[in-house]
Amino acid sequence: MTKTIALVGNPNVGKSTLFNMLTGQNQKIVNAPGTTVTVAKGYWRDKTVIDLPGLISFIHNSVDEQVASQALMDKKSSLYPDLIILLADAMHISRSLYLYSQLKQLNKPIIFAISMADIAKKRNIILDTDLISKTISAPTVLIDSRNKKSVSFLEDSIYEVLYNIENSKENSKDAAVSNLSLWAKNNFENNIKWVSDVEKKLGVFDYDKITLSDRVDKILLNKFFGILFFLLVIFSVFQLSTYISFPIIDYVDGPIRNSLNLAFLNIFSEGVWQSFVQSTLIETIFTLLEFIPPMFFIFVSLAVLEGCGYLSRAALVSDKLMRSIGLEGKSILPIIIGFGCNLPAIKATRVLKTSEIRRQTAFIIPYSLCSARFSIFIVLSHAFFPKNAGIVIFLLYLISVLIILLISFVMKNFRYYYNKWHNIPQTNISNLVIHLPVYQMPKFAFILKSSFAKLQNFLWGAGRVILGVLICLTFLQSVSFAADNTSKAENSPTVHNSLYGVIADNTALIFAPLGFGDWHFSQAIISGFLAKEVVLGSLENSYSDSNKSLSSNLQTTLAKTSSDGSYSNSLTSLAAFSFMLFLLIYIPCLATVIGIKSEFGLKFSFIAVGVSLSLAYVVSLLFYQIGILFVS
Amino acid sequence: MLLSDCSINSRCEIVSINLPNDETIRLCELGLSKGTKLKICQLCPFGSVLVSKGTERIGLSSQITNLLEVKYI
Repeated sequence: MTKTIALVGNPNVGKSTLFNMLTGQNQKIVNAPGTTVTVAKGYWRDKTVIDLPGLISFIHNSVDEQVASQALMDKKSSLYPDLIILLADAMHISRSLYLYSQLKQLNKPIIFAISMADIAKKRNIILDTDLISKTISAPTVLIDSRNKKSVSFLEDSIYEVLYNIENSKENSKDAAVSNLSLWAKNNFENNIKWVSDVEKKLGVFDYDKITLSDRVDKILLNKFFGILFFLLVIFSVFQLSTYISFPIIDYVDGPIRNSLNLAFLNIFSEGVWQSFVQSTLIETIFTLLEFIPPMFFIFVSLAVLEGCGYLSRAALVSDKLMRSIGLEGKSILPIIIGFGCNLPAIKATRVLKTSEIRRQTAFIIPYSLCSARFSIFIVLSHAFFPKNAGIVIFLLYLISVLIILLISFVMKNFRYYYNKWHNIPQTNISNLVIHLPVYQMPKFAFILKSSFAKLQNFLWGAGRVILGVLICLTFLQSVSFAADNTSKAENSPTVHNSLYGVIADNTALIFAPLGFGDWHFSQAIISGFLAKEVVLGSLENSYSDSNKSLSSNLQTTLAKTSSDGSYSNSLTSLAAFSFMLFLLIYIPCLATVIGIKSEFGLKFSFIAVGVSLSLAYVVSLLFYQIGILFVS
Repeated sequence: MLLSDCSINSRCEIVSINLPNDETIRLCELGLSKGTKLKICQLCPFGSVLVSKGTERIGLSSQITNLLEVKYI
């Protein structure tokens, strides 16, 4: 039977880095049994490796800790390990020794792996592995999780321990205590004393020098400069995800797309294959390609911030601000990134260590006005509100922020009453005490490798779904549903005469109370679910479909529908704003939904989509119906 | 005196923790118990405090600094 190895340790000791180093890209995210807490599962050689959520103690204080302790105690759990690797930070070793004092009651083989050994060495902190091993009675290795060569010592140790298990004549022992949580609580003082005694024996932790890290903190965590630097970091990350990515996206979507289209036109003769290649394959490739630059920049910048040690400091600086809306300091990063692009923002929630905070942050991210929505609003606001376009866009940004605050407020209160009802402590003390790592130079080769691996995972996962949806859309658009024979006779039906057009026509009825009960807008909303960038293109297509002689651009066309009603249906300013509100609130794009699903599971993604659609409908409905009362 | 009132570069010892028992236990597990000696390294934005405890550098949220009673040493 395959042996299972569990990576256990306090939050922020580098478990995930070690996990990635051991398993490479051979990993998947699974939900812990019966919970929404995600656990990374991977394979090292023929062994299963599990990266358990951060654990401070078996006297658990959060759902994440409950999952980790349950997995280690419950023999029936699919996550139950044969071997435990307890990862400790060389600079904060006492907390790991405390966890070890509880873990050893499980009677499981434990390897005590001390990370950041390189930094300890630089500070002249001597970590004598033989002495530690003898004192705590567990094999001890020093590692640098980011260094493959250093990890090989740990691999040797794993082999040795597993070999001993396999060749041991004794059956695996049961845990020394039946209820470890209760035991940990009753023996809390003894365990603290044991840690203190071990520390005295090791005698290497009496270190109080002012280090380079302390000097850097004097500036970066200064009461005034700290805020300025924090804002500068946030601003830089935001710029990377938007303005630096934009020209690359434009180049990919412009010259590269055109030449690829041309190449395929030459390869395939006109017909079904050409249509399939153009409207599905190429569309899928470019929908995915457009996400690559912002996602890659975000992955790299977050890895740099985490690798150099600033991310924990950022959490400390913004802690009070974010706590007021029920989140934690680090949540500010994904939220700000969301205003650039929602998908990398969802992925960026990985920097948050508590699952409930991660879910709450991911839940509000889709309501941030991303750059794709911004590009739609530029055209729509200039078309419908030519004199007040700037004010309209500002209003939409304001509404986006207000919705985020409102939802956070509701979720904060919901959690308050939920915790009260279930007797869960209102404040998770662990989130208020942040152990800060030493500043260090990030390893760029490692960062690039892990960022490419994350991108590859995304492209493979999202690509299949987007391709599937596009095949359905192409099929719907290619099935003719024209009433008259002339149209049926045509080889390629127009959008309105296709099955897709019929669906758009019927869906338009649902949007009638919101003021935009016209098929042009309902089909734009349907295609906007795929990607917001598609909304303008589909509006343009539908209008050129309705009026073959149309030569002006979309903005002029929409402006005409607004002012003189010369096209099929006109939109009043009220209806236009209602349409924009709907576009702002309903789920940003399919890729984001896939991102939410891969990070938090199918159920959570359904809830997120359901809530956003309902909220978009209710807000637009209320705005339009109340607006009518005032206008009339 | 509360930890939030301490001046930068001062050294202090925790004398009491104004929290319910369960939360006090968690704070002790995180390395902050009665008798722990700390050095105030930096007063951070929005009332957070950076303290050192041996080799450890710990950032304390303003919510915690108002719950720890200390004395200068």
